[in-house]
Amino acid sequence: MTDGRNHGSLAPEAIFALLFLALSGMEFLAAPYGAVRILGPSSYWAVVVGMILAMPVLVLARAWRRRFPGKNLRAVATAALGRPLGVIGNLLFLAVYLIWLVVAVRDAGDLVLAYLLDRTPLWVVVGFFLLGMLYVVANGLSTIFRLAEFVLIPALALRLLMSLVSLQGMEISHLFPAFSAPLLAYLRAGLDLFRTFLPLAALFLLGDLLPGPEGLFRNASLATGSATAILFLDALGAVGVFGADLAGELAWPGLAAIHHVSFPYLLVEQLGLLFLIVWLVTFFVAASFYLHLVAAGLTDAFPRLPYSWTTVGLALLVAFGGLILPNAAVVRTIFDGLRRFAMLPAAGYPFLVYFVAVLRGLGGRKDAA
Amino acid sequence: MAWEPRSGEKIPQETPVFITALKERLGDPPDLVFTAAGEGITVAYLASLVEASELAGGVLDPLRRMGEGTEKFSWRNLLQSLPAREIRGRENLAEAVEDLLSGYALVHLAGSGTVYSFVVSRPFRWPPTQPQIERTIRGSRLSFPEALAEAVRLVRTRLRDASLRVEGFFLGRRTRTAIALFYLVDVADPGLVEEIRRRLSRIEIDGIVDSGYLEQLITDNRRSLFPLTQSTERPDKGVAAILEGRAAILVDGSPTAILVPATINELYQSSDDYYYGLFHGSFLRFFRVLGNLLAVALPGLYVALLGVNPELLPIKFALVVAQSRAGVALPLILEILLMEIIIEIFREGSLRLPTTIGQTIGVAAGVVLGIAGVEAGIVSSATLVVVVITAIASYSGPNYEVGITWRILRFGMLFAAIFLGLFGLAVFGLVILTHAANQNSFGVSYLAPWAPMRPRALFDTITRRPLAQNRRAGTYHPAEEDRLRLKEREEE
Repeated sequence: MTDGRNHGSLAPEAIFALLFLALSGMEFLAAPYGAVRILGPSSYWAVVVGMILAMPVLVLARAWRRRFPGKNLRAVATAALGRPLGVIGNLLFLAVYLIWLVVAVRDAGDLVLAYLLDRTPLWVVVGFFLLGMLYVVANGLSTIFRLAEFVLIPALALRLLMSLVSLQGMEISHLFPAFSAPLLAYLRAGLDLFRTFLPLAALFLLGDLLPGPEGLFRNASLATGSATAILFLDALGAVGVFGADLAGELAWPGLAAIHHVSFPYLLVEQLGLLFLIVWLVTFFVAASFYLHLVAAGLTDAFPRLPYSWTTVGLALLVAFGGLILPNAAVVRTIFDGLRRFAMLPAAGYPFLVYFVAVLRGLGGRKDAA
Repeated sequence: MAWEPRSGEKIPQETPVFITALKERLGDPPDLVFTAAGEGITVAYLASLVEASELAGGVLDPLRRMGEGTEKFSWRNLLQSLPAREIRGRENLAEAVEDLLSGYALVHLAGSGTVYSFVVSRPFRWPPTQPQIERTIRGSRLSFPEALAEAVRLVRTRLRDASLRVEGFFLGRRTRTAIALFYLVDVADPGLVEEIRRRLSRIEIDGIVDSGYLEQLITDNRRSLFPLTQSTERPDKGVAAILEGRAAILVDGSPTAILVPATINELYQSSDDYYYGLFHGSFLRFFRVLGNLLAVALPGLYVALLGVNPELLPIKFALVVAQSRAGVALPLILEILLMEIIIEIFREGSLRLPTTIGQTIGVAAGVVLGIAGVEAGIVSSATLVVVVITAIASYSGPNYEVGITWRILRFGMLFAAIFLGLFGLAVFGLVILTHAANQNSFGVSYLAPWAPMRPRALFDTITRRPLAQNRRAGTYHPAEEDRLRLKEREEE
């Protein structure tokens, strides 16, 4: 095992790969959930609003890279807010990712049980997930990035195909009226889907690994745009196939939309389950990335913590947290709670740190030198 | 650089300067020999390329006889005294070096700005042998000879470039095995060459019996299932690798060269991919990659789809397969495991059979045992089909070592599928991929050019890169990227 730290900045393509997988790997299958309750048939626009709301994060990432080259959120927060506040702020920021990981792993476990292994206990699936993730994070971020780059092209192609396939059997009438709610409702629905774009805030934890500001902005925007396009198609498919009412009730509407498509002439009839494997791969990479981020963030804040044991401890915590949740309804409730009370503050925290740092005259050329 | 005209450097008149100049041009290789053949007369040649008896009888002895005589030495006297042979006068050092690389001996006279090149090249002494594993339809039918001197000669005759560096090492306290390292000094990454030297120099062992020993001693990770170096028995592959900026290592007594760095992508490439046109080469490569995927995943997929996730199969298809399994005594898992084990034993056994009867026995045993097994109700015909497809597909890759890796991992896939179906396959596949992502070969990512992603180099992965692509892929950090200049482009 390594210390989890990597040296030298990442290639812009690597940022694209990891962000795309992180954006499309977490919760994508549940994309329109929540938004449909607010917007009804036109909930697919929530994806676009969510992306627009997420754009300031990208702009801040570029500004951050310019003003604080090589410095991550912890370093700047400690300097700007003072050590106690900075440490607490960062721990809370990491806690959001950790809770999100717990819920996402549980959700993915439920999904595997529902579609692939209905006679297997949940702990087996969660256990295998976490063992695999531990193996991935054991060698630090470079392995995660390589993994992300390797699976990017097949994942991107199959994910796009998956979304296009889900459009089969769509009732156009389900998608109308195209604007079915008041303007403010679109904002609310966009905020509901904003959680999907939270991986972008992870950029602030990468610090000296990030490429130059322009390369970072370009590739992060491209990844966000690509993921948004796929999410939009997913939402369109789910609402178009099932209608807004039913799509809002389904646990994984995106997958259900693909699952109902059948190709009788293929060897594998239910393409949805095969695509589920593709999604699992992207989820696995994304979840490993979060596990690494939290572990690296903790060892960064508390240098005495060994990275390897921190990852093991976190994995046990995720397993415990994931397994004590009684059912999918509770998972959804926690997701909702996260969305309402944690996601926006988490995304707002880097903004707060940045503005305090600017007000205190930190960063810039003097610091870079 | 390669496209610049050859240097117009004149032949140095002073002997020490001439010797130094030649050594500098060729990187002082171990087979570059300088012999004094009289006062002020120096003969230079590459020992790996010249015939010793020809050289002695046709050049050195007449020169020495002249030196012993009373007559004053002159070129005219010398040329008259030598047996008739192809002789060239050279005043340009670059031309003289080219002669040297073509198997000529250079005779230099102190104080003269001309050298004379005498052809003394020799034929191969090693009987040509065909590659046993890396067979191709098109391309060279020659494999590396076991004798290092012959192998060096083979590479030198195929790569007559003054930039080719040949460095010699002796390894093994008791065997003192000769090792040769080949690379192009103006193409290969200097860091790579330094790293190879470092790894070779730290080896202290009693003996190096085969290049396989060396492979395990210089690899980045001895505990990796994947071969992190590439072995080849084909000189054309070795030369192509050197041209790409990689290095080749040859061991005396072994017909297998080691190529480094190696990426998993390289291990699927066959020499003749590049000997055919773009589409033909790409077509062949695509099916090779597909064959390898089948070889690894097909039995696992079969078990996952039939045993754990049958709902994925179309009902008609599932019924046909279920019917074929009716009456089979063993459960699916045992059935396929048994067949896989038998195939592995067959494979190993047929390797030791004499080649003349090996194939016949292999086919006969396969057919007879297969039919008998189905009729006896030990295996189903569907399982037999899967196992046979897997066995044939596992031969589609040109690299034997990585083939063994996939065969081992196939069992892992099988167990993952038995316990967790498609989910198990996905998790196990990701673990394999993670392991591969962790590996480096001499500073190059094992998954390159996929990861780190080099978009230009990606064209040379599942498909073949167009030969007219005039730049080397950046995967191996070549010091010189340009490799092709077509005349039409020059005119443009």
